[in-house]
Amino acid sequence: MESSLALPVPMASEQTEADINLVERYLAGDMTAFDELMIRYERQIYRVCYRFVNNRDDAMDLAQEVFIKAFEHLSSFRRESSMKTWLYRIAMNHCINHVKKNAREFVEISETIGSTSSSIQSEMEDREQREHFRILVKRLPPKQKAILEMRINEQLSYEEIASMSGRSISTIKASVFFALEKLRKLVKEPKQRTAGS
Amino acid sequence: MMWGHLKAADFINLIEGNELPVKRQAHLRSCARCTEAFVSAQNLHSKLAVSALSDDELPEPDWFQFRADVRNFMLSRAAQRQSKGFSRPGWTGWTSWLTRPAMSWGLAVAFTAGLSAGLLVWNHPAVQPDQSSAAVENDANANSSSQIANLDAGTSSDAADDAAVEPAAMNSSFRAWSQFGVFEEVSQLNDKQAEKLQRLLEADIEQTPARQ
Repeated sequence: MESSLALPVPMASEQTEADINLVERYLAGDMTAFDELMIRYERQIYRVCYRFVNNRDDAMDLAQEVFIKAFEHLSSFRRESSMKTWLYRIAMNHCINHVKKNAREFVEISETIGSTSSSIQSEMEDREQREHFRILVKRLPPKQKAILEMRINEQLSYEEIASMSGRSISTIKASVFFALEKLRKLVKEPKQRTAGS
Repeated sequence: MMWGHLKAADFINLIEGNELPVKRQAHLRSCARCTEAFVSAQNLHSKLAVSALSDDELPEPDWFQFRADVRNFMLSRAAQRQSKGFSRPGWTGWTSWLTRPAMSWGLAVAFTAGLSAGLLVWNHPAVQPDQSSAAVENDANANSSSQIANLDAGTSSDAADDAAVEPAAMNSSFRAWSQFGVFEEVSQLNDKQAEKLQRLLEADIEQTPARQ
């Protein structure tokens, strides 16, 4: 198995230069650049996709489709934004479309890894609460959820999210706030209803 | 949100540790509604950060397989493109021609021209021979036709009787006989009848200047 998902991300400027170099090599026909680009971003893209579907196989399919789209349109990558932002944008749009398309037939399958035989009561409760909160987040509108994920989980800057989504920074901030407001309402709802929906 | 209350972006700035302008800070301290909204949003924000799946919780896929799948898909698509050759997708189907403006215009012009020509040919009267020469021809044919009819009937009539035939009757008999019909009748005459016809025609030719 390769290195874990918690691989340190290189510095932004180094990353950008290296990315541009890889893109140029790939466009010139160097297939090793293809693998290098995949290795750099596969975990991040997979993680974003996983948060949308909570299922390994679906997340893998989505992430692969994101890379296929990206490589097919790599010649149109204008180097105005970073490769990372560009890939995240593709992933975000792809996941939003996927969630919209499968909204009715969506079945949540949780695949969290960890010790299931923990005897500590508080840990179980804590875990249950977190799980419940994730379910609530899934009920947000796909675009709001995507912005929230990008900001809080992926820790992208507002500038990056704004450039990805083609909106202003204040609109993105407002989206995050309205997502939190919506979550507040959902938290107040009875637990059974939220779990059942 | 009412005038004076904090905006959505202000709450987010505040939650993320940014400082607000003095006026808004003063408003936040004095407004219970904004304070409640801020506390609630901040609480949820921190919960959200905690509830996020950590990398350890994500199931690790087989990355070699992951890359191989993407690579194979890209290669198969490239092969498909190559097998299609250099044909441009828009030019392959015959229906695509119809959608092209130049082709559409050409077809429309050709269709209009063809339709006009067809209508012209359909409505144009048959070519009429010269009126005077046609009249003479009709006259001669009518005479000969009626005379042949008389020969067939076995009646002996002379040129004088023929001259007395009404022009209307001649016309009707002419219409009844096509030119091919006359030649057929003539070819079927026996020697005696042919000789008589010849004499009649000669007499008729002799009378023609007198008629005119």
